[in-house]
Amino acid sequence: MLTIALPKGRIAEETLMIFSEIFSGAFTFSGRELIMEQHGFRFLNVRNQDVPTYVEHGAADLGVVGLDVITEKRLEIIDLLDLGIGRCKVAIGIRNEETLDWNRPDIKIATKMVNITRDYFARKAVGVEVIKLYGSIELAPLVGLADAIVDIVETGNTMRENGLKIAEDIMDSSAHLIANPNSYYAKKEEILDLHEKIAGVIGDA
Amino acid sequence: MIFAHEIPAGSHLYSGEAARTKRTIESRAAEVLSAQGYEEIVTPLFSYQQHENFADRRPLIRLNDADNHEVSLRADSTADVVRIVTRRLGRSTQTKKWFYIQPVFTFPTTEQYQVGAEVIDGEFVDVTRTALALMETLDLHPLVQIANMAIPKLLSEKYGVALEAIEVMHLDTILASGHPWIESLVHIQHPRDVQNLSLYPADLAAELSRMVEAAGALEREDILFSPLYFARLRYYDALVFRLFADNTVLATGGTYTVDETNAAGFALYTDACITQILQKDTHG
Repeated sequence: MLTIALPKGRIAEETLMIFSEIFSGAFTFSGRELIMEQHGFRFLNVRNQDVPTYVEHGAADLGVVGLDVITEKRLEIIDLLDLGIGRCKVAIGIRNEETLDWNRPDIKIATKMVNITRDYFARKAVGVEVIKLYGSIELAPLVGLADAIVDIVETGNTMRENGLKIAEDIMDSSAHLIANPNSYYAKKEEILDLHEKIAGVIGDA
Repeated sequence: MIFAHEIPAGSHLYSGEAARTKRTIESRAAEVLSAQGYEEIVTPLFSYQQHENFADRRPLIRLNDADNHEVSLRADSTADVVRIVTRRLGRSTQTKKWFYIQPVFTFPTTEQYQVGAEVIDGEFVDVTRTALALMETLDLHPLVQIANMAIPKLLSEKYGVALEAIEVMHLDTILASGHPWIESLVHIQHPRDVQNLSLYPADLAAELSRMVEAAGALEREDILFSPLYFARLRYYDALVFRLFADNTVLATGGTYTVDETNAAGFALYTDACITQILQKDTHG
């Protein structure tokens, strides 16, 4: 049996719809259920940021997680497939009336994604002070905590509503199917069979 | 703030049953390896050559000697053992089989106890058998995974599959290389999946055939084949193995070349074995 960790919410629902299409059955978590078994798969309903932890430690063979999380956490996992769902960007946001001055020696960036931010600014040879926040990132430039933010942007509405604009895109992201390396080697036939079926469905979409 | 009893993250404190288990693993390993004709060696904790073994040097704990030459704490024993026995001890000993029981250290504060064995001019099958015999004496029964470093190298150097994609096993990129045989290669999981070598170009077929021969000589049912697996240590250049159970790697090894010396060896990860043994004792 393959155990698959899914991030609570829309991405889990869209992933389970793919399973419904492949295996012609109802794949839904009922109520506050955390484990659901269906068609020989065990699904775990976990927080988005926890998906890689379940997969990396082998509590789940597979998981669905954003490319941004894979990049940020520098995971030792196998990246099986871009599912093409949950598309978003990681972008630099600044106040509407400002421009990002790359010549400043001390840019302060507020973000949840410390590694992606450090790597991006390092590649541009720009010194940066990264301030780690856990939520409401858009607030930071509005109250002078930071000059800019690095955050996930889906529609851009949250930034717009808070008087911010995108200064630069860092990377595109979408949900990927990942595997624990040891599970992949030990259960390769089952995992690649599932990979093929999912690729067929998202290829047809 | 550091508490008086605090130990750095990644370091180990063993006492009671865990310390006894560690001692048992090390004594049994010493008995088995000595009985097979291995000599014991203890190498220096500080090393000048460690950086040559690592493609990514970040794990090395580096400092400087009195002349400001870079020195590292030992992060890997294999290359140092081979260099010492071939260059320093080569003139005074005929022994080609060496074992060591000593830890390695990586940045920032990770320590890993290991039992290692290196055989100058050694064979893959012999060292794999020895590693499996050690597992047997510890009543551990891991899965045996065999790979061949020549395959990722060929794919990258001759067939245009980026080594970075193979390293992280980025399946989309690997399959997108478009070779008519790439899907079959990716799907190989057991020795029985390599029956039709004519599917592959001659050079890849020869390397797959080496894996099949090794698996045949080991005479085990539980062998997994991973032709695209890539070991990150620089010196591995041909057949390698990993022994793992429950997402825990218990030992790795294979054939390699250090300073033009061909050898074969393995490292048993003592800490991982201790955890497995204690878990078995607790959960049965």
